[in-house]
Amino acid sequence: MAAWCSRFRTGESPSGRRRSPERKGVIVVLDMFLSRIDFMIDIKKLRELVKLMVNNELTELDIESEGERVSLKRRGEEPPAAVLAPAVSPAVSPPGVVVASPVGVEAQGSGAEVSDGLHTITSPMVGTFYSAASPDSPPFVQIGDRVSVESVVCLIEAMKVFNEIKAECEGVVVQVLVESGQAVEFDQPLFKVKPG
Amino acid sequence: MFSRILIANRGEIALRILRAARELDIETVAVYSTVDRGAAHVRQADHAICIGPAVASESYLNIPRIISAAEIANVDAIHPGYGFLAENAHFAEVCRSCNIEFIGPSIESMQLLGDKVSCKQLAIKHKVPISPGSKGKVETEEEAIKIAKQIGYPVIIKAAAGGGGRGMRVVHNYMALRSGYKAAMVEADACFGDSSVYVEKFIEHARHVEVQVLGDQHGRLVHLFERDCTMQRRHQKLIEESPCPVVSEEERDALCKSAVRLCKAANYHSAGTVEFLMDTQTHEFHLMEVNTRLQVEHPVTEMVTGIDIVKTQIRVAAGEKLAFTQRDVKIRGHAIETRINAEDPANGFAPSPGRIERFDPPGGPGVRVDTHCHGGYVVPPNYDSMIAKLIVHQPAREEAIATVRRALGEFRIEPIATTIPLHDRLMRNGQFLRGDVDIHFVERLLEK
Repeated sequence: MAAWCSRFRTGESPSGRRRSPERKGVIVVLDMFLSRIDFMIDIKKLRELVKLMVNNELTELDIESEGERVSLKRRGEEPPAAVLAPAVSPAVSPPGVVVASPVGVEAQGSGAEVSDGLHTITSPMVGTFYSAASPDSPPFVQIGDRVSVESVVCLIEAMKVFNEIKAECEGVVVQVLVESGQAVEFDQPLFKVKPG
Repeated sequence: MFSRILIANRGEIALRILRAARELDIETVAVYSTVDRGAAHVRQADHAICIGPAVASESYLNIPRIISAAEIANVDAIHPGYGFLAENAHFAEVCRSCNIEFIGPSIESMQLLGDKVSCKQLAIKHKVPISPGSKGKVETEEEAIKIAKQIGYPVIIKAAAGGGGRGMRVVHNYMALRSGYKAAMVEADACFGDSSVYVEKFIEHARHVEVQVLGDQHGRLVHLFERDCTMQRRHQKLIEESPCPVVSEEERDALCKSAVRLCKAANYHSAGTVEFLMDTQTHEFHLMEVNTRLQVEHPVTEMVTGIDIVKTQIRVAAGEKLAFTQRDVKIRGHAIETRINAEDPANGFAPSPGRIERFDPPGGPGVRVDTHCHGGYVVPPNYDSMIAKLIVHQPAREEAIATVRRALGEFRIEPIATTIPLHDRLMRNGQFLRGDVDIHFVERLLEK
């Protein structure tokens, strides 16, 4: 029985995160154990994994199964700061694979253009993110919604004042990066929009 | 005791506060602007929140953003450090109204001592030595002339709303006063929006002597003796030392006691500094102002008294009593601090921000370095240029000076220009060694 175990990490960082002791960045680790399985199928599997990473905005992927272990780290997009997303069922922890994102990288200004061609809506303030006008209302925007410059995409509450945040761009929302009720900091990425 | 505090500052003082909090087992929250993302205290804090872009008005001076960060991080208290919002009574008020303790004095005492006129009136009432001159604002030219005649020329006309060396005019005689008085009022109105001026005796050769006070919220307030900060350039301190090398025991005792009287009268608590000018000829003291906050040069006093001022600030803010009485406070030995700035003394003190490739601070007995810099650190151009404080403590002044010289020789900061060469020169200057200087000494020396 294949026992898939995967750990993944996204590039985004919620604010107020726990700081662990400083870790050094690790250079790309690509380690693959070739089994008796045909080389061609492994390449196909690898391509699938890379596609999985790109489509889900992952910067690292670490998978182990049936004696095979694949650990991939994606370059090109500089994540704002390191954070550990909750690990998904780490049944077997791979020995010695400690991968960390670089610390202390200057964040993009609001409206960052990243290598995947998407536009990022970032937070202009510090506060608490709310995806809807009230707990009973539908969210301002969802994945697939079209937004324009004046579209309200969310509320950020600071000192009991609710501020409407506008998209300030044109396009289709492809990703929502934060959860309602989550604390956000200045410049924190909130949404990814496909321009056009 | 607090369980979590927010550090509303940056640079070396943010790291200083972080260290004190760590030793008290308090969690720390750093707030930072985008250019300070890699800063030492940001990396070391338990939580860090980016609050805005580099410009201070949208980050370190921005009250809503800082309070917002304090709320989402759920802190008990905020330490404002020095500069930025440290003496902003409105900020202190906002903190406390949001149930967040402001690590500093009460708003009332901050306002009372922070206003030069009310401070001077309180000083007169409690026999704290002040500048002879007008008791308050001078309303007419005739009044100014009358006062000048009484106290003797030269006199200085000061804007009541001014500070930090701005809005001042020295006049040496009656004619100069007549033309200067009106001009000073117009200037004051233009710069500070308040044309009020007052007239005081001007000291030709002055030393800057200040007294450190520390009080709790249970009525106990003590002094931690004095510091001499005469070595300045354009009202910016370069070198500070304790004790003052030219005052007698009696003068020291009287001065420090007067500072305590003044602060007690204002119901002051936490850390504060009462600044005086001393006439080098007569040893007469004139109250200048009270800084209702932690000072840059606090390490000098920490070294000679052995008291951790920042930890004590946090403790008294949390309601603890001072752990010592006035009798317990003693000065041992002599301490000197040199402020190292990212400026080029050979080039008109032009700022020299940029990447530090090599940062080798000195060490050894009696040496303390307070800095946020390290090899690879990029000094941003957006904030003040101080990058390190070198503090030395030895049993006597001569030894301390020798150690400063030794330490400056070891201190390598490359490739940016720093004021280390200037300090080296000052540490070898005969007049400084003899204690024969005044607040314009460095400027005169540099002019030659």
